[in-house]
Amino acid sequence: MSDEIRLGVFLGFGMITLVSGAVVALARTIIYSVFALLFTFFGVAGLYVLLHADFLAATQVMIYVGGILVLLLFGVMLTHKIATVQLRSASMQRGPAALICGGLLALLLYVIFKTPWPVKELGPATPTVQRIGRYLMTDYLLAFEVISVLLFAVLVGAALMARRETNR
Amino acid sequence: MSAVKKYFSDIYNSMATVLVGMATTGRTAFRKPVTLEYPDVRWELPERYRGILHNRIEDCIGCLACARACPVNCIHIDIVKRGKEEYGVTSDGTKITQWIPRFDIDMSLCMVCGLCTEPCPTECLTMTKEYELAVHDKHDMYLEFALDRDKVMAEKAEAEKKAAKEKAAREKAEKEAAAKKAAAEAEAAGKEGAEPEKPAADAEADGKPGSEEKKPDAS
Amino acid sequence: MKEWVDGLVEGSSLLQSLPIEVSYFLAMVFFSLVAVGWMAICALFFVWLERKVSARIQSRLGPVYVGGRFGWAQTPADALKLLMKEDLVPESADRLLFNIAPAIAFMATLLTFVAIPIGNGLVIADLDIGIFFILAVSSLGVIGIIMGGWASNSKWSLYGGMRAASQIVSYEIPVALSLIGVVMIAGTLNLVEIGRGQAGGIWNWYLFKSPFLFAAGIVYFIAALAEVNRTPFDLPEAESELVSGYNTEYSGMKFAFFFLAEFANLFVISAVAVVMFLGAWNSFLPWQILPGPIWFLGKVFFLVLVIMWLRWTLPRLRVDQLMHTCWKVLIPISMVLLIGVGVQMWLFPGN
Ligand code: SF4
Ligand code: SF4
Repeated sequence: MSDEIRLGVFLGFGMITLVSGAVVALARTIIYSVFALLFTFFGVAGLYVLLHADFLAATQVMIYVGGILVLLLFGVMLTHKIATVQLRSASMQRGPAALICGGLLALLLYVIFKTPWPVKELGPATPTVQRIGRYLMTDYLLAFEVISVLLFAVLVGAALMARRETNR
Repeated sequence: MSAVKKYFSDIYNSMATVLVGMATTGRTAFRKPVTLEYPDVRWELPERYRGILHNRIEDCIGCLACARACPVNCIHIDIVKRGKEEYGVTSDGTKITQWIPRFDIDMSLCMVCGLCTEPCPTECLTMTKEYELAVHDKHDMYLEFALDRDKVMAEKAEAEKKAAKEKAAREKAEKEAAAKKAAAEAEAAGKEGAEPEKPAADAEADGKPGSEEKKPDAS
Repeated sequence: MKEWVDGLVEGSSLLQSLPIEVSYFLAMVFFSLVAVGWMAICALFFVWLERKVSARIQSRLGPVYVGGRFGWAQTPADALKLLMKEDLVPESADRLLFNIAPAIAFMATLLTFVAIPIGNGLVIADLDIGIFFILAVSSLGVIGIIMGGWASNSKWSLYGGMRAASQIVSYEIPVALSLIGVVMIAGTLNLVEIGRGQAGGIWNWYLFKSPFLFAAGIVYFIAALAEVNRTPFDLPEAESELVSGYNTEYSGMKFAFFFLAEFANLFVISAVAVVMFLGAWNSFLPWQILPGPIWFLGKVFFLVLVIMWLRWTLPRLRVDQLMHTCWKVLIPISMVLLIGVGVQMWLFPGN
């Protein structure tokens, strides 16, 4: 793929990510936000693919779209107002919120432009799965295990809470 | 312990019963189909199948037995008694003594029970093997077996008209003949010309409407 | 696919005369069309097969008229009918989401088609993460189903969508866990590599390589049935309870998309089962007698037949039974099997 195409595809995915991200934040109907999140995740997955990180992209789709997004939808739909299509999110306290967000934006921009990012030429696509697997089982084993334990605790906690609900 | 045992026996049972079920459905899959390609292939109907009703009106003597037997009163018969006059005989020799201007069966009410066919003395009311009762217009459900009354009436009217005309013609001819007779008195040739006309016209004029109807009745 | 595109581009003087970007684009469009066509053919064929199988199991005849023998043109005729039908959108539905939901469901299935190898190396996109890609993308379909169910603004549809969501999210886990065993033994996620690893006779098929994998294959089959909403797990579209579930309000072309995706999913789960467990395109003898695609399609066909057979045999599960089956039976079992495969690999490293 020539560089122009790569740039075009990058811009395309970037646009998808940003626009749908904006929809997520700005849509007044909650369900639109959730569905827009779908396209955000896709845009990000596309960017991963562009960086030859195919495993990461598939993980992104699998976990965020297949799992988390569905659970979000589930949560939204289980609210009691489900029968009405108008499920709105209110916006309040705009002043302080704008202040905080503006500050955050400035901070992020500052960090983005001041940090000396290590830029590397993109090599040819190589299989990533084996390396990821090996690293997870060696160098990053601790992080991996900590996350596993955390998730397990969450799972048990969730089950416990659901249990108590039914016993009441 | 028993809970654990139940857990595994449940799993075993579910797998085993699925296989049993699949064996059953697998067997039925190779059975001869019980359905037919209906409009093309049809069942062999049993001998005494009760389908739509039919009346051979030529044999009907208008005894009303069928109408009385019908539980839902869907047979409507009108009869006109005509004294001792006969309208012919049925195929089994019974004399027909009444004119039946109306013999209707409302198949939309009929429940195809067959009770009406049993008392029929001449066996003219029968059930056919016709089972496709659906029609496009519900009035088609109303079966009229009586010989077409309109046609009969029209024929009668026509016959009357014709008779009247013939009568007029005959009278005219008679008058002419009389006039001729009066005027010329004795020409054999002229008499001969009027003579063959006269008997035919007489026969037609004598015929009553009843004899007109009797003809199709007996046929 | 890269080699194919290169070959296509080099082989055609018309494509060579165009700028390289355009010709690549055209080649990709061509391959997507191939995938769409293949998917449509599969779906149409399976719908016809389903009718015939259900008819035979119930000792009926099934379609016999359209197209002469065996009513083979029945489903194309039905598809044509759906295309020409009026495209209704309920008045109180959410138009935007209502319209894109079938497209998403369709896309999810279509994307899986590009990664399935029909024969040795005969695949549109030979992905390194093959099976993982299929798992990831097929989980997208549920989004389309929920979206359609919600946007219809009808109670049946909504219940169907909710059921689909809970069911598919749950059953993704046993599906993935039971496939991981094969991935561990094969040492790769690439579907073509996995298929190559099973060459040389039926005893090399992963299903028969180890007792754990045999059980995993059964677990996969059951869970995959639930993932594509087939009876006995067809709660999202339970006719007797929810009219038609999430697609109740759909008609015409959009309904056709849902329908197509559903039946194409049959092909996908069977194809994955064949590639992962049943030796992909390899014959059961040590040598290859017929071309690979014939073996592959034959096995897929057989599995689809079994799925239909199951559908017309079993009654539908209750919702609590469904969840019980998944969380208390399939997931623990597939975990144990996974450990079993690991232990086996550790004890017999060379095998
Ligand atoms: S078949 Fe039964 S219902 Fe019908 S006309 Fe005869 S007696 Fe009446
Ligand atoms: S019972 Fe028979 S003969 Fe008597 S009226 Fe009915 S059809 Fe005619």
